[in-house]
This record gives sequence, structure tokens and C-alpha cells, in this order.
Amino acid sequence: MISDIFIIVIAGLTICGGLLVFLSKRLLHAVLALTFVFIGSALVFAVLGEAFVALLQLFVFVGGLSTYLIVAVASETAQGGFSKTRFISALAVAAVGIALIFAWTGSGMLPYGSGFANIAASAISEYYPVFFMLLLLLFSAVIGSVLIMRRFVKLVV
Amino acid sequence: MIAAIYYVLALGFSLVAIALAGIAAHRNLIVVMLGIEIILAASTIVLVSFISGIQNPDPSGIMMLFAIWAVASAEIITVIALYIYMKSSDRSFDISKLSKMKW
Repeated sequence: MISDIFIIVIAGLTICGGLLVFLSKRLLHAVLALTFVFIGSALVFAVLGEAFVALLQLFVFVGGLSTYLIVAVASETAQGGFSKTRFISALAVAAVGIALIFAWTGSGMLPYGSGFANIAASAISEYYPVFFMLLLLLFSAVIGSVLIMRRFVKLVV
Repeated sequence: MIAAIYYVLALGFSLVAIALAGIAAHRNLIVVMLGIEIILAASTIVLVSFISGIQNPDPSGIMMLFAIWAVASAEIITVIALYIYMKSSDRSFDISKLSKMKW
């Protein structure tokens, strides 16, 4: 019952995040709202008992790709230079966030559902050609981005 | 748990509806691609809710999840490169003005 209420609250917040992606006037706010959608989906996975998927979603999409996207969009308006206090405060926020996730996963509060990690491990050995195709997809995306960025470098230089 | 799966499915379908409406209404290329990203996130939500609802899930479903993640990651890489390139070359983000894909 409590998990149902928790899911409804998270779903409501995630839907608000999805709406904000399109209703925001600034692109940076839209990207932040998208990050919120990723966090909401990770929380939904955790409530469903899929801790492995929730952590992957948090680390890869929120910690990696969303941060990369935010930095790319925010760097257009940001000034150069390095602020020591800003770095220390960001480091403190990141440390608290990671410590909370670590405490949450280690505390036993997180339910473990269908043993997703074990199934994923067996799937990797069984479907390795698909992994090579996914690898090719990501590699081609990186090559395409590098080709686009080469034109950007020519424009700047 | 079954009721929770229904809520999660409702969340996934709501996100797809919001994203489709946003893609249809918006003209900004980057926001349209963020909308596609929301659709991919919604598809992972729906897939994981189905996987968590059955006793012995098929590994092929998990491969589909990895495939969705790979497509979403590739799209974010492309969004970042396109955004930086178009911003630096003062090109318009309006998709109605992007009539041809010329290299």
C-alpha cells in the first residue's frame, strides 16, 4: 500500500518533469526537467524491486549523460574561469548524493525482485552478437559526432 | 505489486502521450530530440514493469532494454554534437527551416 502511494507520487512528479521539458522557455530548464524524468524512472525501478536497473539508470543516464547534456547547454552562457567555492560546494553535493545512494543500496531497504543482474549476465553470453551490434551503433554515433565537431572546430579556428 | 505495475504502465503511457504532443507542437530541434528521449525512457519503464511482473523473465527482454539504452545514449551524443555545432554556426533550431540535410 505504501509502495503504491510512493509510486503514484513519483509518477506524478515524473509526469510534471515530462511536461516541463516542453513548457520550459529556456533549453537548460528543459534539459534539467529531462534529468528529473530519468531520476523519476530510476525511483520507479527501485520501487518495483529492480535495484540493478535503477542504479544503472542513475549512474549512466543521470550521472553521466544528463550531466554531459547540462554542461553542453550551460556552457553556452557560462563565463570562463574556475571557482574554488563552487567546485567545493558541487563536490559536497555529489558526495552526499553518492553516500545516500550507497547507504540506500547497502541498508537492505531496497527490495530485490527478479534477480535482474543474474539474468542480464546470462543474456550477455547468450546474445553477444546483439551486443556487438549495439557497440557498432554507439561507435557510429561517436564517429558521426566527431565529424560534426570537426566542422565546429573549423568554424571556431 | 500488480496494482503498482498498473500505475507504472499508466506512467509510461502518459509520458509517451506527453512526448508525442510536445514533439507535434514544438519546432525546436533539440526539444524534439529531448521528446524522443522521453519516449525511450517511457519504453524502459514499460519494459521493466513487465519484466518485474513475471516470475522467470526471458533474457531477450533484457537485451531489448540494453538496446533501448544504447539508442538513447547514441541520441544524447548526437544531440550534444548537433547543439554545439548549430549554436556555433548561428543556424536556426527551427525544424521547419531545416528542409534539407546537406553536408
